Amino acid sequence: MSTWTVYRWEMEKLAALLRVRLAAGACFVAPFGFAVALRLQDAVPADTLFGEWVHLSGFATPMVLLVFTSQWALPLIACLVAGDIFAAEDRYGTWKTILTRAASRTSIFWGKSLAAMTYSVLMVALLALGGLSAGELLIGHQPLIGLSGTLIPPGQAAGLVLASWGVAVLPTLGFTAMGLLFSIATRNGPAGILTPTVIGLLMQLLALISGADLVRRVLLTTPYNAWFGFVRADRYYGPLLWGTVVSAGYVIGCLALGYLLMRRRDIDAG
Amino acid sequence: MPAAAPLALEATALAKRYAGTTALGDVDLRVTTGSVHGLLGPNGAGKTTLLRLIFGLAHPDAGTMTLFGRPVTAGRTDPQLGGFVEAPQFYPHLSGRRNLEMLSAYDHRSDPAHLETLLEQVGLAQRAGDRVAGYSLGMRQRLGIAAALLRRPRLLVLDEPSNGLDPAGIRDLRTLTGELAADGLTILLSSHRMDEVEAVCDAVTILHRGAVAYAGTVDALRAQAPAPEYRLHTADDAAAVATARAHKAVTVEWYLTGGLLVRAQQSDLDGYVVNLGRDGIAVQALHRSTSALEQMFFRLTKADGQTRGAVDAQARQEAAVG
Amino acid sequence: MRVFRWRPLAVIGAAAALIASASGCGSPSITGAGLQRDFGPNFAQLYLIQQQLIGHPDAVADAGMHTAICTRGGPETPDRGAGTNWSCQVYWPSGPGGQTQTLSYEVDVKPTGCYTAQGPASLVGQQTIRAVDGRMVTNPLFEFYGCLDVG
Repeated sequence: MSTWTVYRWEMEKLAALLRVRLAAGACFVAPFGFAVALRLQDAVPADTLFGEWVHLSGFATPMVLLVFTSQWALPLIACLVAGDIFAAEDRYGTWKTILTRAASRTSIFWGKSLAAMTYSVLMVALLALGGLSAGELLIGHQPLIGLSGTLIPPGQAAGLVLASWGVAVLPTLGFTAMGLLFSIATRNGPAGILTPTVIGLLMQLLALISGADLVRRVLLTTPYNAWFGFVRADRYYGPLLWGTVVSAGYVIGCLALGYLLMRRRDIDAG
Repeated sequence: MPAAAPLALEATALAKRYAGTTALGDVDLRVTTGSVHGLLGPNGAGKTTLLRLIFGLAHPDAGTMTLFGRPVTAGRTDPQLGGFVEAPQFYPHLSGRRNLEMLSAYDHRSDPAHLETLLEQVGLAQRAGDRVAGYSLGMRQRLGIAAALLRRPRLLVLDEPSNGLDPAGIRDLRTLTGELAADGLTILLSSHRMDEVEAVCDAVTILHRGAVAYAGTVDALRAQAPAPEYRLHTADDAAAVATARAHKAVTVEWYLTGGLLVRAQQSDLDGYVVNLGRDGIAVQALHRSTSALEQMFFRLTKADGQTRGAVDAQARQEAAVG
Repeated sequence: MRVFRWRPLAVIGAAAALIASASGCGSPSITGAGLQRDFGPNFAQLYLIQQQLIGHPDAVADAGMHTAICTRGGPETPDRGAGTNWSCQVYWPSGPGGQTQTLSYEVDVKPTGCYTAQGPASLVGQQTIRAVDGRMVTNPLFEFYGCLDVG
């Protein structure tokens, strides 16, 4: 009940932020710019999955966009809100203002966390829908060649594109939770936003240099690849299942630690 | 004040350390229900730390607290308590009214009529729709008072409420606190200014370096106080000093900047001034530079040389200007 | 107040490093067998798409085309793990006689399990080919990719 009240107000405060409005606009509009750029040039981003087919099928646009953004943009977009949502109270000096009310620290923690998660899911959804409609409008809805070399009919391709982006929500929530943790731990917005983004980049790098499967499996960036298993004829869901477990592990771990820090904290400044 | 009056707030042996330094050590605070209680001390005396503990914002290292008989838990603010610690802060991109509506929702209350009444009461009704980012310090202070009263507390805690207020604002604030106290609200007023506490408080706790230097009624403090200080200008200061020798209860010193510093109780001062006239020495100016309670406050917090010097200099400067 | 607090950050960093180093063992699941299981059918399917594009809608990919042999580096290099030195051999129907010809793709396998394969242009054609409707389109067989299940 109390959590719901905090959540509603956090959503209103987020909607009033210029940063959030710009991010939301960019997430929907940027895919169109991307599709226009792809259309205008003859060369294709052939070294990227689906890059070869950007002129052949509009469904390749949101897929290439997914490959590109999951490298670093999704963690950054997620932490743009999550990394600052607690630290903002330190910046405004408003911890004492809200913590001297009936709403408990627990409900403020959950209200804020849920608001940041909602924002992250919305941004991924905007990117997915933006990419899908940009590809559809500017290139067309031809069948897509899947990862096993088979043609996927348009209706199914649209579903798979959305499912792939849906899978990207899982690690993005993991990065959101990481942003929330660093927001609480550092009490500093830029640190809360940038630290998880840098961790994401380091994870990408570690996945490239380390051949060990166990390392790759515990990295939060790996679940972004879980869709490899189902955008094809002979599907496998192992990476998706494991990716869900890993993402949930990061979400639970970061939130638990953040919650403890917030509960124990003395509001001794501001 | 009847001794048996129930306590609104009772803190016993409170202690709080921050990174090795003791902010509060073994502090007791007793606020009688229905009283206006002053919490006085120079900057850094531990007032803010004590208030943070009362609000449950910080966790005490030792000691216990009860509010109207109920134990205070760190990490949450008692619903009977309202107020602010240090300068009240709000979300700058929301309007004053929206900020209050949010705090009201966080209190699980919804009383729009009460909210408007409060905005009216603190003189913000006209500007309530503007973003807080455009508010002056004084307006934020007023909004803070409205926010404190929003939850209809039984104990109102105000931390330096007159900060940033102009003289008219300070007068309004005193009127408001007077009205609230008359309605039976218990008020704990934290301040570094004795004159503010003297004007509105019944009882006072003086903190110095994290410990209680005085706790009791303002009247009892006044009774212990040394003679107040006056600044005197006469047609012939040297003669006035000579006249003072006949008055045992009056001490006179030269001010470096001209004029005389006179320490005396009111009745002794009266006798001295009459004698000056009798001796043909015209009194050109006579005004109080430090009240008896201010003198007492300085004495209680004297060990802290630097602070005392600063406050003292400030007091003299203000006296000179006034 | 903008106070940057390092201590909690250091604790979290240390914990993350510990987890990362503790799990730094295990065997890679990219193998020659796994690669050729994916590579063969992928190639065969793309062959059909290529034939359709250049106007042979009735082309078929027989069982032989679904079979690939993938090896890594020289004989002394074990056939597993990510690397740029993989190669896969597949069969190419060279003419109307039904005779087949072996062709070799250079394969780069990433640690994610995804690979890119580049074939000999002399047989599979250049990067862009002219489709039956006259448009220049990407040749599916010049360079293609796929992903292995690496768990």
